[in-house]
Amino acid sequence: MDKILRIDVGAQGGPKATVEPVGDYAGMGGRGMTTMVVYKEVPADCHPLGPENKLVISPGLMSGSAASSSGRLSVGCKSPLTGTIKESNAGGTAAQALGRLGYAAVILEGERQGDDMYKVFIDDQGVKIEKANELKMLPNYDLIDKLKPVYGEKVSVISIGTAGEMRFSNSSIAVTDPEFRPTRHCGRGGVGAVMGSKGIKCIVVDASNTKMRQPVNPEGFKEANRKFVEGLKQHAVTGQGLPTYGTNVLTNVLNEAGGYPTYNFREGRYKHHQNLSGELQAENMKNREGGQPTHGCHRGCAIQCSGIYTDKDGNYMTKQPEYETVWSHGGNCGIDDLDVVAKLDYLDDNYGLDTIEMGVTIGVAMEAGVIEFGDGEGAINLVHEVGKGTPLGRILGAGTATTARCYGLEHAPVVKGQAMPAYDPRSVKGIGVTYATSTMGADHTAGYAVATNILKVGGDVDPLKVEGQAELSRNLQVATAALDATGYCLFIAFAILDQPETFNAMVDSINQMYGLSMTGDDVVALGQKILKMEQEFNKKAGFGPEHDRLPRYFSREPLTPHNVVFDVPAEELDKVYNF
Amino acid sequence: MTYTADFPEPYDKTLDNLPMVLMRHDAPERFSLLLQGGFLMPVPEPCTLREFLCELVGVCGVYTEKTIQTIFLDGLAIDDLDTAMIKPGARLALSAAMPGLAGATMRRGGYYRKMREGISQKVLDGAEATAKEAFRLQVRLYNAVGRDLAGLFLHLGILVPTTDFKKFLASQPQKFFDHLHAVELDGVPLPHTQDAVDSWPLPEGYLGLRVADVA
Ligand code: SF4
Repeated sequence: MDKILRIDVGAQGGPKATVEPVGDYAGMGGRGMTTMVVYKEVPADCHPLGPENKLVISPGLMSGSAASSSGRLSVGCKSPLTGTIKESNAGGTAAQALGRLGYAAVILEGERQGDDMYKVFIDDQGVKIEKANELKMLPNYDLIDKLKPVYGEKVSVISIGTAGEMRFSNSSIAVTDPEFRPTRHCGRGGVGAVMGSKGIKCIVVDASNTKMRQPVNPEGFKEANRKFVEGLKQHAVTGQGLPTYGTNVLTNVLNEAGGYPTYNFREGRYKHHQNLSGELQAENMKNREGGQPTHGCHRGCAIQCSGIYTDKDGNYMTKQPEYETVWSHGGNCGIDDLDVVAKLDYLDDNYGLDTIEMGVTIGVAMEAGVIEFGDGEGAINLVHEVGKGTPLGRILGAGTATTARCYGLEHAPVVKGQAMPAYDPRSVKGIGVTYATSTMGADHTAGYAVATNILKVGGDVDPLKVEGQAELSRNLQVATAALDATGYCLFIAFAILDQPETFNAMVDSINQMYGLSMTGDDVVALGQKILKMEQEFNKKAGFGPEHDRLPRYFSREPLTPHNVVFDVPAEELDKVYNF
Repeated sequence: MTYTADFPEPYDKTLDNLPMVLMRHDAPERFSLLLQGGFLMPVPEPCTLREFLCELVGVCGVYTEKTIQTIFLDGLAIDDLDTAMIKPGARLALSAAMPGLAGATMRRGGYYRKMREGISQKVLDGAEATAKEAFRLQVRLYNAVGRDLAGLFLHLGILVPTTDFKKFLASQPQKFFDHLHAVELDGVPLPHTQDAVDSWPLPEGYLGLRVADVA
């Protein structure tokens, strides 16, 4: 991965591609790359949909190699939703394809001329860009159906649906999975709108004439990767829990903890939670024709947390909805039907919407009385309104914060304009600290539980002396930023958290791939560097400590059943970035 | 890991003298959706969580330490089995280790437990006097724990609302009934095919359910 593809969408006669050496960005991948390019090349005070913003697409450092579970694709820009820097990542097959073709990044830049839409085709022969107005306003699944006869099913597609084309602040970028379905999404922060603002409908990547990226030390790499996979397979979470139940295994447990936000974050438990559980979801996939409870979002994932979800008659509905999706459209909206949630998930993917933002927005709309809590049909109609861009749909498509503002509500569960995910910060305060202080707006993946105990981020922490919330959150955010640069999926976190030998095998895989001798300290340094750039960008974009806060009502209104409020003091939150 | 120890003798063979359904079924893990919904268990007297698991249920040692990684008692995350007290009115949930930061946070004695300050069980409330009387404990078994321990808990016997039991049976596919070899209600055999379920004269309220292997 030694080259960067720049597409100037404002060039005379239509978008123009230039390939250049990776240069100053050498050694960067995934979030490291997207953050560094945005930090260096995008003016922090620009409008996210203006010509100065750039959309950076980057495979992780290990993507395209034989390293297991390393096919994550990062997308970065200044976010239309939050106004901060943004990195959003997804699985699917595109990161591997771009990695194999040698691209460390694809950068969409410049000022779009006119309102034509274009498609980009990348293969081992080069780059072709064509006008594609026949694809205009196609939802993602329909787009894929149109591309299939032209390019076959072996290519990877990175695309936007109608939401991205209409430049909604809630709009995702889709990536196709191994079945050539647009099911994997860089969901958060409205990145689809930035792609839409550049007039690019889709990027088709064909790596069929390429081979897997070769490690500098093939034997050492093989051995390290073997140990890494062994570690993933033997751990209870990555070897059994995730493959069997997927992430939605969390529903019952969060509900039990009283940390399952229900009815737009009004209550901490949902009485019909078992109708939404991962256990039931897995049974449905096992018992229904065509269902598949264990499935990888790209080839070469040893965990396979995903699945294929079918209806009672065995017809494809969507990929296995994730915990956050089942919660946002389910318990948060008082909807307790997994099939309705699956339909909503499909529609989100089709129109190109972030499922967390969309579900939380519907919850706010329910509180505003647009439809009743529990109205599944109503929720489906609202997503259609967004996908079609009706006047109401345009308000909802602008995200949770805007919707709450339009309806005069205080209850907008957002930080820096981005909707909170599926964990109530009053019950799980450490996650609240992460929501408040993440450079990305409310984000659960910003501290997914990486091996900070092994990395010793911020020094040698005595495991018996539990550190403060701020320290733990900081360490997690640093470690996560580093992991997001590698292309490894965050779901490996548990295995590397518990098993030092698995963590070492992962670092060793990177070393053998690149001929390096990185240690845990270097991983920490990389994470810190990324976070510092992000924080500095945000500062220049006008964000200070006063934005690193949860909405006040989380400190004022107790959450049932434990009647807890978020009470981590501001001074504690301000300590997160002391490094 | 799977649970391999022998099943102990049930503490209360009569299951509080409720009407009792006995099923001969060779795939008890297929009941796990019923177990995630919650059931009651007779308990002779208040005890610690370890005493309950180890002495009453028969889940001890390696399985408890390795697999039951996430425990809630009355919605509070439990770190110490020896100080958590099972008392009348208690609600217990057992789960395997969970993914994500939330999972790591909830985990028993986990590195990130500080992050759930406020919903962890802190006080040694076993110290307060509680009458030594029998009671019914509310239990929920989730995910791998439900699957692994279904045979054991169903062997001991559980108390479930009839409505929940009927709803569970109605949601089961034919495959569930392929593993069902006999059914009795208070010793009287019932037809055990899927289409006969509606004809079972199940009493309203609660019933006792015990599942035994075919042997
Ligand atoms: S664990 Fe899941 S999300 Fe991660 S790479 Fe594997 S299938 Fe994709």
